[in-house]
Amino acid sequence: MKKADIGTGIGLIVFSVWLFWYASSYSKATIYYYGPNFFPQVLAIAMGICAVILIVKALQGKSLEASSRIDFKGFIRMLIAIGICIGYLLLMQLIGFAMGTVVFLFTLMVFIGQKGLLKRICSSVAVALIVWAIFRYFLIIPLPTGILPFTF
Amino acid sequence: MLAKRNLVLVATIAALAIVLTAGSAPAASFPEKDITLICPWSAGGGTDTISRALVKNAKKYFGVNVNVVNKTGGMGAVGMGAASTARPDGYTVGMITFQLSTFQSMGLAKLSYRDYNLIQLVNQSPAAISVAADSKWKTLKQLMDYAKQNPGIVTVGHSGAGGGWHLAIASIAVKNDIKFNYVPFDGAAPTRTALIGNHIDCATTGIDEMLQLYQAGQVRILAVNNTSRHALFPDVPTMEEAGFPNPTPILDWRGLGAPKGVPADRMEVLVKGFKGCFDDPEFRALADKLGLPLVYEDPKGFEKFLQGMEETLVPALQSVDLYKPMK
Amino acid sequence: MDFALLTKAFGTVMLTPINFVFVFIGITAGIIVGALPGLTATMGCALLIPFTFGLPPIQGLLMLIGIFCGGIYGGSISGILIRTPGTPAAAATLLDGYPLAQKGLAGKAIGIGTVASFVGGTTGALVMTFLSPQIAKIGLKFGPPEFCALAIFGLGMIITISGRSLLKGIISALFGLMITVIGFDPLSGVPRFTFGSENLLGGVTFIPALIGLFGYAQVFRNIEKITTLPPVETRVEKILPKLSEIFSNLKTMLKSAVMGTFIGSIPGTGCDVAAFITYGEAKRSSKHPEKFGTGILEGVAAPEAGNNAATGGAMIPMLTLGVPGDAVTAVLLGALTIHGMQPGPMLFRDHLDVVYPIFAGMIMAQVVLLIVGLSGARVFAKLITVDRKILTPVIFFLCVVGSYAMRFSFFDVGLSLIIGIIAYFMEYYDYPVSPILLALILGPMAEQNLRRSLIISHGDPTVFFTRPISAAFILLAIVVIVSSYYRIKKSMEREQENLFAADQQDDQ
Repeated sequence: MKKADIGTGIGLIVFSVWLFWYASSYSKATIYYYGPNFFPQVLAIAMGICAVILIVKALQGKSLEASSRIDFKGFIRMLIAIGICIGYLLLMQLIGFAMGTVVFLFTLMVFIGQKGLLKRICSSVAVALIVWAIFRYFLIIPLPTGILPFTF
Repeated sequence: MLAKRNLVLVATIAALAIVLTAGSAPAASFPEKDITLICPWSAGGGTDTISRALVKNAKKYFGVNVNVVNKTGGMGAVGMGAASTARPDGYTVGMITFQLSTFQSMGLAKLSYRDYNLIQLVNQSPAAISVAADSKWKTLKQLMDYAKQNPGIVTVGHSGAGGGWHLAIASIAVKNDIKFNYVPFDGAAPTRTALIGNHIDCATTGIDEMLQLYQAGQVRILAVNNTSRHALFPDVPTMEEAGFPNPTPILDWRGLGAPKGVPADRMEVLVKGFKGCFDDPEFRALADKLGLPLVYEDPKGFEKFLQGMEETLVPALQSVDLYKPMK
Repeated sequence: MDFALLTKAFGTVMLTPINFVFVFIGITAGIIVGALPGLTATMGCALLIPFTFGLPPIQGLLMLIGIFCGGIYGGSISGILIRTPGTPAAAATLLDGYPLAQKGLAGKAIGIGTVASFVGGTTGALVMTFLSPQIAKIGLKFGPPEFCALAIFGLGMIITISGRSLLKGIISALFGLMITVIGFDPLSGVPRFTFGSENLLGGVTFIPALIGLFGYAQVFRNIEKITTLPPVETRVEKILPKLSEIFSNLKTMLKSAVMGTFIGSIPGTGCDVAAFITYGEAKRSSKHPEKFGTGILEGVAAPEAGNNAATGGAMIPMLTLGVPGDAVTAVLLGALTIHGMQPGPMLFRDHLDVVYPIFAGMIMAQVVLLIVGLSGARVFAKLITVDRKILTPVIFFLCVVGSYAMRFSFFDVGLSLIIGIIAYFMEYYDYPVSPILLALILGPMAEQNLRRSLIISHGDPTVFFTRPISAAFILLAIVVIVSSYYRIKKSMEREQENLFAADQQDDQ
């Protein structure tokens, strides 16, 4: 993980410098001894030091071996799943929480390869309705209802 | 096969639609379903307690329940903002609190009371200056004299920079040329604990927040920042009586507002209904027990009060360097 | 302490069967609310207050106490099963609970957690019953410098939850602390790093962050590896812990329980802090610290005893001083107020008839918790055997709901997703996520009290060392950090040697 450590270290140093600089704009905004800039700047310095140590250790070849690797195909699958989730959040506003959830769960199950249509339909409908009911009747929390009269 | 299944699905949805639309046919009366009251502060806090107590018997006055929903964050800006931008059908109203008067002048948010159809004022609480019972200061005069001779030494705990209690005392201090060392805490409860634990010299809080400690004899309240005494604290002098006249005190307040654009007939129902809740004996009894001074103002009076409050607050914010109006 | 009155109150509460029903409802509702990610014990209590309006005050309170205890306990179940803590207090439990579940020992993990919760909860309740006024006095001695020192002590626990690399653990914690500075600064009245967004004015909301760090990150990993992950098998014969296993962990439980009660009783630190500190202490004082994090019962017993003990502890300042010990007791305080009893010194002086039944209710809640928990463990443990291709979408959905429901905000859902993606990458590069959580809990406490102390002392930093309690905590923090560091390092080296030796034997 040598390359990753060096890369992260450089990134963190840049970030710390930015944080230190940005936080300095708060210093004049206060009448107190230690202003709102104090803590963020201390953090920025600490992070900078850690980042330097990280790089030094990596250059010395003391980086840890990676315990597992990201599977590229799986990674793409994950990104698509996040996309589906964002679609769900939009859909929810349109067709309501409960109905949107059924669609989301069903789609996601199909996507990751769940077998058995009945199983998919039953589980998505059941979960969506149970959670919806808990919110609606037990906790009395309003959820998005959608824009059409029959959506919920 | 697939087409058949789809057909079944479409039929089911259609059937469902018919049932549901039939159920919600347009009715003349308002309200016909539960009303939501957005509380911009977290569950269990003072505003939340008051909101929940206020609408406890709402069914009596509205015919439907009023449910309290906490939308917290951003010093109340998130919840209050949500109430101001809710669908203006009268089914969503919001609790609005003191911070609304400071958002614009502190540069925190664009929100102000002008974004609402105001419903009513619920309470106004005055600030109180308290010291621990064994403190060497017996009167406000002694405290102020000491603070004048030793600028920046006396530590004053309050519940947050730019909050009502902080500003209430700061404006008086500035007027009398006194420099306190302000110690901001995260709410009233830690301020109280710090006071009776002798970690700070005096505290500025809402007077009602000191009720228990006052009754138990653990604190001495030097003055109440109002023009008249408080019924539950008969021996606590007003600022003027303590020698520091302050005709326009900064008061903490809570009220109710609906989003701009709620139809007038529905506003009427809301104003009337919440007035009923406000006059409910159970709510009154609770407020008495809490020492919470209930003050009713109708929408017009409420607006006038808020206008005056904004004007009073500007110099107070300037005095503590927090006046940064939104451009 | 009025013993006659105490006995009488206990008798009346315990001998009224209907009270058991209310506690039972409370515990069950609490477990459900606690186990669902995003719905915390705090929220459960707040949402159910209106239900208690119609009840007599005592029964209403018993139900709320049940939700409180059940909620703290329930959070661990989802932590153990799906690595998503239902409540912040469960975040330490999953460090060993989830590996246990992956070994097929979910039932055992939940079982030992239940027993530990019972031990902890009962200890807390007993201490609260007999020592409330005395402990409240200690609580008053805590001023800003003490809170700051305590927060530093708590942050020292990073060392025990850092995993393979301490440096990366510290980087994680610093990242967490940086998140906490976002938002309105109550000390100066200045918004920091909000970039004009009102949604960020209140800072990064804690629960969505928690769901992002654990829930989403786990869902993403599951989806990534869905084709390769082996199914989890629950060995049915090992569903409950054996008596011997309970007894061998009893010492850890009791120690954690006492510590948890104390931590809970300090206003401002609650179950979550207690869980991390007791976990850290159990690991530090253990003979085999290297096994923590790989799935051992002690690693579940310690934080579970600690966080449930803290429920009793947190009630102490709430009842005696009117100062809530944590977020849940803040809600309970509101509930008591609505029921016409305002906690504080007056309550203890004039209303022992209300206080004592609360004590009785706390103890009763522990018994009910044990019964419900143990009988439920079997059912809960089965949940994990549900097909992962169904379970993962459902958890995904629960994460969305959980991050949304905290304050009904789609902004929070988005934020939570982003934090989830960050956490997903962090784990691959060996940055542990638990220190972030610890930093989120303790960061505001550390920063605010640091600055507050310096305001009180007029800028003099020696204030932390001249006050006895504060100095003691700082000293303790140093001792704990140094000793943990050496013990853990040594045990890891030993393990390396063992591995090396084993390798060599293989070679021959």
